[in-house]
Amino acid sequence: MKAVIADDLRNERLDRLLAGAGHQLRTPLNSVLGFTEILLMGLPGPLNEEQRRQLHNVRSGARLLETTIDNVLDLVRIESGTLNVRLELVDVGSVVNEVCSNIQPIAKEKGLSLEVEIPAGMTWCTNRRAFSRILVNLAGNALSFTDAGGVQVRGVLGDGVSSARVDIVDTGIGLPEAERELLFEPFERGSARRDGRGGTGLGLHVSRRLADLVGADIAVESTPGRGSIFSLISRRD
Amino acid sequence: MAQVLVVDDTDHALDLLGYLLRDRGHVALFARNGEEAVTAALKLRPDLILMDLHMPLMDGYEALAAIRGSDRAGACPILALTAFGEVGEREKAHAAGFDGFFSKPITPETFMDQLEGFLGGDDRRGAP
Repeated sequence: MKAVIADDLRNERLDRLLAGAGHQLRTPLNSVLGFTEILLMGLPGPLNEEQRRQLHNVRSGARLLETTIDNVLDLVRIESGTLNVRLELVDVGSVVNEVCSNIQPIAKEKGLSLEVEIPAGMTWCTNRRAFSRILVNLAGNALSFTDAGGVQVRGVLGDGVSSARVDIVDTGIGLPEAERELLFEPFERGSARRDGRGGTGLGLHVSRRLADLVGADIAVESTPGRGSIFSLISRRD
Repeated sequence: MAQVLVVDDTDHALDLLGYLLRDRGHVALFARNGEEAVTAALKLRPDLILMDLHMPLMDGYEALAAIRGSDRAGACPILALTAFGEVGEREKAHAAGFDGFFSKPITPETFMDQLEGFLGGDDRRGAP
């Protein structure tokens, strides 16, 4: 009994510590990203090409930091067993639209399309925040590894034979077969490391761990040079 | 043009949001904690309030309750804006009565579009 109470106290302390750390890390990042964006929008005045290029670098570094903060904090919570993933009925369209509206500026900068196709009224028994974090990682990756064409997020209803799923379909560089499972290991970036694309190598690992906690799997299909499909598949239907 | 009360305990956040609001032709009013927010809301009756959740003296939840309980400013949309992107915070904010929930860091352009969706009647485009 004492041990259980001690564990609870320790978990509560860890949770508070992580929440505080997240807050302290995101607050300055809000200034970095916000003011960089204002400058890039040209609101205080026009920029020359070199200023614009350098500010783009600041922004992409800051965005990478943002994703890393969220993924590291999630991973610590998952590893310590303190992540609370209460299941609830989630409106798939509302979460997908929210995530896509947040990453739309990245698609726009790269000249890529970002489409959402979710059946009306599609719901999923999951955890809203975990679901949102998985989508941010998968759709963010899809944009990072696509240079032409675009990304589509589409929902497929379960029908008793197949499970409900959400596919993130891109027309990107694709993945060699040997890398497909490897990329779910922490800090493993495969050939992305060689061509200098974004990502810290935590997103897929954390996404699969989160998916597991809410009763879902992540599967990947890919044709190198043509694109990839990352699917979040419910185990419940 | 709308009057928007921005409540945040960090100078940079007030500066950032003030700039964005003025750029869109709105008037930005500022408060640095919940107490100041309640006073400003009752006195100035803004069209919208953008509220940080965790602040000294009085937090966003207490300020929301005080403003909602008043006849003078109770009906205006109040949006939560927080760097606490933690599990359950969004649900807690909605349950408390916030009309919208946004996490820092914000993406200025989309954020302003969503914020303006809460101005002017039922045309709400922001997070549910």
